[in-house]
Amino acid sequence: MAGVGFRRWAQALCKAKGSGIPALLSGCRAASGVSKDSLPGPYPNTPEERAAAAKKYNLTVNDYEPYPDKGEGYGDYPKLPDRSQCERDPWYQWDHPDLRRNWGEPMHWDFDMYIRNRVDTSPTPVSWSKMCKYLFGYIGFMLFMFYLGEKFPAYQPVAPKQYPYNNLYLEKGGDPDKQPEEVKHYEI
Amino acid sequence: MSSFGRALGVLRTGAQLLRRVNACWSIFVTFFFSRCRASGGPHIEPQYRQYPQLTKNQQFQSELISGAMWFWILWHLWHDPDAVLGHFPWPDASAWTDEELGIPPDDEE
Amino acid sequence: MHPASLAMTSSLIIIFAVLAYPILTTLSPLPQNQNWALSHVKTAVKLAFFISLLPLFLFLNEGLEVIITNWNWMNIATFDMNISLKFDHYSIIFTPVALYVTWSILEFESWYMHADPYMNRFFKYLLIFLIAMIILVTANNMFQLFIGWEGVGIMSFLLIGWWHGRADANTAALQAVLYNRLGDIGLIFTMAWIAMNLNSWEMQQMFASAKDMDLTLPLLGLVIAATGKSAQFGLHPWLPSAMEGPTPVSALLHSSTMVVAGIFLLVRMSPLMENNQTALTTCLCLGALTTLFTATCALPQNDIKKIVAFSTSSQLGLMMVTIGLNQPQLAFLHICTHAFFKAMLFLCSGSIIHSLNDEQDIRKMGGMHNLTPFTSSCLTLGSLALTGTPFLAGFFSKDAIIEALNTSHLNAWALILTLLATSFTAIYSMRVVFFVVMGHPRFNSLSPINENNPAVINPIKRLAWGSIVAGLLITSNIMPNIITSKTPVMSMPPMLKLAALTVTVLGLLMALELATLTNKQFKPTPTLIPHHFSNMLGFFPPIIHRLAPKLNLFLGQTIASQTIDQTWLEKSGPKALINLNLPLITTTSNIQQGLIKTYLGLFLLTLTLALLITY
Repeated sequence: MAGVGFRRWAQALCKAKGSGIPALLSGCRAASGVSKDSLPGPYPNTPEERAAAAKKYNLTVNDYEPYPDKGEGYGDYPKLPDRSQCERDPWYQWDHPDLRRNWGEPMHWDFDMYIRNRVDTSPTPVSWSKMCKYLFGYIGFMLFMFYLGEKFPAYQPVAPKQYPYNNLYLEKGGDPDKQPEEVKHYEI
Repeated sequence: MSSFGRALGVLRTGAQLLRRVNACWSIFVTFFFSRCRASGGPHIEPQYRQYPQLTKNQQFQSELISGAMWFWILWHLWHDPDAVLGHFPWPDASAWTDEELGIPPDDEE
Repeated sequence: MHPASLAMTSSLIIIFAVLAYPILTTLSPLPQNQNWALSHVKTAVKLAFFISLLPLFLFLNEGLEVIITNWNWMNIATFDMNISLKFDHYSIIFTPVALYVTWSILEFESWYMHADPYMNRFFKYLLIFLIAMIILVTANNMFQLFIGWEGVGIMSFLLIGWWHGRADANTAALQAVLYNRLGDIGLIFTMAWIAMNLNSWEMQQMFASAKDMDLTLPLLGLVIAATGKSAQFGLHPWLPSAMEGPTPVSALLHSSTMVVAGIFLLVRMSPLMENNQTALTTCLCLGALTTLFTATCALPQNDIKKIVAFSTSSQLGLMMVTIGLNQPQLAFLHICTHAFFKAMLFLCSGSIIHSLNDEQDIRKMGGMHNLTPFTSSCLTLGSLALTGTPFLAGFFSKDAIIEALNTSHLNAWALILTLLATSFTAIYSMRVVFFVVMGHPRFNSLSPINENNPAVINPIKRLAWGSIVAGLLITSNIMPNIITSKTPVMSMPPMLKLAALTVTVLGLLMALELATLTNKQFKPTPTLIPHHFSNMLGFFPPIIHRLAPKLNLFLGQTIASQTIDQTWLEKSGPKALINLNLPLITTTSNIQQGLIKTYLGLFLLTLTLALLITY
């Protein structure tokens, strides 16, 4: 907010060429926040109010659907479908091609979430649940197989390893009383 | 550093092979001198429904690099097949005889 | 000072000076000459390459092990900050390789980007990137390494987003920078841990003092850092997206130099890793998973650059496997050989893309050996080197890695995955060659196809010679020089020795068989879910890139502007005070309404009384 405020202040300064303090003051007032008329109005209850609100947001009455009135500050702001800008036609002559948006078109409440760099809601050939099942199934399977692979490592030894002191019998915790006879592979 | 020598040896052999064939040698010369031309390269007219014309230099270069690759591969396969097939034969323990291992026969006692 | 070390240090300083000079010239306010890119930048890199050969030959000739040059920069109570350069076989060999590849790519770029109005700035970015890379490679302490690390990260962001007018390029640049920051968390964590526990960022001191410590945590930090930078599984989607940038950028940054920085970090830190089994196993499994996953993703792609990008990712996975095998010198060898042929593959695809009016779809290519014979030859050569054809560059590293895998005592599943990925490499390389070089043209016949430009032919030719001979040269020179290296196993059963070649040939034959089978397409769009799985990159980007930002932004809004608003402002803050005070105010003021006369009477009465009492 501070950034926006500062920008507005700077814009006001730029615009205020020569007109002096009054312009600066109005700029400062804008920095304090959104003005009353850019905030959504009260929740519409009667059909007339609905029609007026729809007209205010450049919507037809049929398309207009406010957020439920739960005191969350939405007011009469229209509840638009959750569609990202990615889904829109890339070849249409948009007034603002970067945002794929026409002038005066109502903005989604979460417009900043649905711009083309962020969340994409375009339909996928595979359903969401199936995608999740496949991806997490794949990762899970791989982790399980790595666990198995860790249990059964791959190595082809030429011969079993041989250690001194009767194959480390005592060092491996064997019972000294029942020490087996040392196997001799040689004769001198 | 010896590998530089080896690599140079390979190149030298390749150059000698080329030198034997006179025609090849002349191409070699034209290739080295044609490189010195000003940049930009020749202009090729666009063709409709036909392959574009190729320059001699272009074809020669492509054949030179492919030929060099195959020469390199085959030369090394001939002289140095160990790197692919294994450096030492794997000992087959079952084929060792008792005499080689110095084991006296079982019925000696 | 020993003359050899003096020569190395001074030549490195000269290299830095040569490379920095063109950047300094850009500081002048006058606009640069149109030829600045070629006359200054390319020449500087070329010169730097030839200068860097001097320390290389000196190093090989003297048989040195390592030279460390150290300047004290500042001291903080228990912690010294130094500027120190390390000249061991890694930095001494990698610097010429990077310079050679960059030189070729810059020359190619002067052709590829000749229509770009900001070509000079583009060259400047690449030069800054190169300097950062050399800083990273020659660094002997974590701080210098971090400067290089972040330098290449930032330059990669700027270069991927070069065509920032396109939202896709912007998204790709943002992805790259965000995924890299995730990796940086690991690096910064490790650096903090080292500064706290080992009291030095100098590598040799770190290695000496960390002998008896439990290093699992900092090593996992390093693995995360490498995962981010080298696009290992989990943080990999930025690498294929980065193909939105210009092709030379992909060639330089996203194949040969920057992405190997993560692996290079692990190679540098290998003395810390070699005794920590947990970290090694993590690397091994992560690498094996990456190499197979990305190779699978490469199979059904139709965009030529995407295929090459995925093959890069797959090779990075192979390098990670090698780190996990505790064979850092083999990983480094693969970095070096990979740089040559991968850069060349990208340049060839760039040449073809440019010739076909920016067409990247391999289905719309074909028959290129009739049209651009030299580029096609080199594309084939690069693909052969990538699959590990004997005696080309890739063979020396790849075959050694797979032999080391085969003869080690390790996770069986990792071995299987790596072998599978090796045969997949052959399949997708074959696919590229089949679709691009062989067959008949499937594109508009009016394309202006002309590869007869020295700026196209010369760089590709240089890299092609490099891909042929570099493997042998590097292998035979670094192998005996590495004192700490584990000797490569020379004796093994023929089955293990030939395993790499066998799986590659099997893959090649299978690809050929499938390619000849599918000259007719029966189904217009394949509908099998496994096909979608590998075509949509394992569903990883659609799921993660939708879920994570949506959750973050949604929770952010709900928490910040709704829940907190309601809790503080409405239920307990100012509005609650209003609600609390309003009834009290109303009650008290209601009692006292309409009583002005009484008040006045009382006031006068008390006044009179007071006056009477005082006098």
